[in-house]
Amino acid sequence: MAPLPLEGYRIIDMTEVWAGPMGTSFLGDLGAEVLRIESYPRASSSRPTEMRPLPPGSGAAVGRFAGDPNAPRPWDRSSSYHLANRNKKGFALNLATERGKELFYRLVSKSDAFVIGYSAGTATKLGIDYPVLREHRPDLIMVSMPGWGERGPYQDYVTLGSGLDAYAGHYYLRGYPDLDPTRTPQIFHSDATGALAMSFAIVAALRHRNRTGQGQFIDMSQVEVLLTHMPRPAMEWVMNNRVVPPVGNVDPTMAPHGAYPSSEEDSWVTIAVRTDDQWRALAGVIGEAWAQDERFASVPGRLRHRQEIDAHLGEWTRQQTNRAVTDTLEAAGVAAGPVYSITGPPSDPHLEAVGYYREVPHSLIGPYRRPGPVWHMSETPVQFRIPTNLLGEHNRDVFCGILGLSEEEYLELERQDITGDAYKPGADLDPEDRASS
Amino acid sequence: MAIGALDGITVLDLGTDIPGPYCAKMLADYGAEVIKIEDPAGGDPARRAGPFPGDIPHPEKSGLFLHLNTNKRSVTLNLKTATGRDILLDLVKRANVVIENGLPGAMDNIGLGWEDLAEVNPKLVMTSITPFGQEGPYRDYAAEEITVFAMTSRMYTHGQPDREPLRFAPDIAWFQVGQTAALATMGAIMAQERFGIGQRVDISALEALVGNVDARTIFYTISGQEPPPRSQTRQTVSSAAGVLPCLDGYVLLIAGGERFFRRLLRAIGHPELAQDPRFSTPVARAEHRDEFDAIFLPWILERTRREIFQQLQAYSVMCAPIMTVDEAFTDPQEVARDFFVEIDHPAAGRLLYPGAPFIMDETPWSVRRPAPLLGEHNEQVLCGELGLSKQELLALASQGII
Repeated sequence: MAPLPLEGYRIIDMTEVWAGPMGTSFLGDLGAEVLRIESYPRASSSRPTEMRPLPPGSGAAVGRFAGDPNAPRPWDRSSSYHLANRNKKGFALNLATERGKELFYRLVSKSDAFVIGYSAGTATKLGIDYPVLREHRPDLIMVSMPGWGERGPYQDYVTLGSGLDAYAGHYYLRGYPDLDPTRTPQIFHSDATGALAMSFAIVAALRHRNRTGQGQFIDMSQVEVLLTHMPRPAMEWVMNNRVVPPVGNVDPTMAPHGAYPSSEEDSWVTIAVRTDDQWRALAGVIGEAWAQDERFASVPGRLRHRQEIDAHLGEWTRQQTNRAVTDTLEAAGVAAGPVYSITGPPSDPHLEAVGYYREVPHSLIGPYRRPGPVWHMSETPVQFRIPTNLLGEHNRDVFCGILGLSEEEYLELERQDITGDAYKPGADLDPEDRASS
Repeated sequence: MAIGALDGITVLDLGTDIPGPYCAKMLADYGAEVIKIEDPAGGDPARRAGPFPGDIPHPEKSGLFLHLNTNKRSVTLNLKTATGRDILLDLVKRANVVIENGLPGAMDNIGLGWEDLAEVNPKLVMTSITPFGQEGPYRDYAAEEITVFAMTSRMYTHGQPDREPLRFAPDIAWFQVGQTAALATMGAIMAQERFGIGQRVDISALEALVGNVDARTIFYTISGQEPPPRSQTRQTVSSAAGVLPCLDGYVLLIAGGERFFRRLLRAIGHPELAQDPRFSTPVARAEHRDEFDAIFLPWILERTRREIFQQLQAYSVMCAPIMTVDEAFTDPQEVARDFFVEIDHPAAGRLLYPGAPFIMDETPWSVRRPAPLLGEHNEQVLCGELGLSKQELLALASQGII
């Protein structure tokens, strides 16, 4: 079996929630040894210490638990943690102590890359910014990925992906054209793109280091990653000084194009027609007089009469299930797809046939099914080698195995609360609030 | 000048529209040498996509194309002719990576499938991006961005319960797919350079979108519990979390959790409310929401987006203004970071473009050349690098091969 692309590289992951952890999971998928450092004894936002209701409308589901809310070790049960963490080992470390810092520096000296996902001041405050770490590892690669980047007036600002979506203009663009912005759901898309960009940056930097021996610092703004993904509205403003409004499901070059009702309650099917051939195929399947209308035979005509077509087409789709519409139209070569609810992808026949969802073990809540990797490589396929790490699960691997501490020295760390594998109540509050609650 | 991180990697970009070209752009902008192979009859369809200056369509002035094809050279080649195919194979021999986003089988049908390419270059990385991957029952399905996105389940929860569900903004899903392909390709390049491994990278857009961040689906696969129906998972405005109207627009606020709610109270000058039994627990806050709103909403309504953003962030409360894409161009943060870069293009002129997705201090993202004119580098590549004569080039042009 061929070695994996990043075999032999050690990467320290100090990121929270989704963008960072998902990105380092991708690096683990590529074969790197990813060591996830977890905040201790204060819990990070990735590791909620109790079940609490989410504010209505939050799509984040951070802190949602799989199963009994009163079960022990809630921080190991949050489904959002499981989502973003695989193929990595986890250890807990109190970086605010001298001993903790010293151990961290030693680990850095034995590592290739370090990713930090906190706001920009944090690394300096903790004494682990790039100039300091370079003294311990001169060719270190370090990525800092605050929401708005490491440098600039917003370097200390904090947010989740939904705030970046708002600032980058995506929130505005994806709303209903006829409703105000309070009616648009919050999403966390920048976490997906930030994860990809960060892991790409690390692999590119490793490649450069292989050739030159040179490490480097990488400043990634998750907002800027997202801003490179909407060139059409950006260029419309640059070229024509025009602000593109939300367009909903309308496409400027295709009609019909959108989501249409189907026979079941709150069930929809998407249809998109690009060419005149596809339109004729669709009209043939429908077989009703309106579909033969000459005005609809060409692209400009269909764009002009978009609303009329949508109304007719919706009447037709409403008589069938979204699955039936999809099957019929795809058989005729017309692009269609059911709007799946949450249960859709895990039971989709295609994803089932290609074995996409994989059953993975977990000592507390497993086994369960999780989505597969985001790529197929013919010679270096992704294995889910390491299940989602428990808090402190690999403490001994790191402190004793990699750093060479004796068992007695390790137990001393536990006694001094420099490491551990369980949080105490209130561990996720700010220090000033912990005193008052 | 510093070299790019991907200096010395040669890529053939056979992609069209967004996914393949964006994948190749990620490589090109960090230093790879990318040759874009275009159909002599019109080139990449992104050339016709716009937007265009003054709304006048022009194949060298499409905003989408200009953004996606920086740092690439353009060679036109009709791959359906035997000569065009042979020239491509000559280029493949000298390349590290081929990127394409045709439907499954399309490359095989013109004698340029994975086996054909691997035969002339066993260490090649070939990245193929398709809606549903190279295998499986949907591999031949017709697809557009919206029909694939619908199947990820991301669309279903994106909208109001009494209305049709919405896709995300146009192009957004395709960019994510292209970016996924770039990461996988980068991994395959490492296996190629470190271990001499050539391989096929198969990107399924559906899998790339389903397998990234999506907490709802995994909540279901772990617990077996279906999340609440659409009507209960929608955005509703609550005072500490949600989207709120303010003096000049809207702000997004994430302060429902314990730590952030207490910071919010400090930021608005009411730290004592943390001890008020009406607001001291999440359950109590939900019951007394109107009373909290009576204190908080006036504070929000008399401030602008920028004031709220700055005043709450001063207390590390998570929030952001709802902006339009163009507002980022003049926002102090992006100005300070020089994110938008001016690029001079022979047909489109000097324009600002979105710049580096991340800043590599030693191997900077850079624009070495603007997006190419159609076939601009035919002579440079075919004569200069493959050794064809000028006469041969003219003959290829007259036969419609280039």
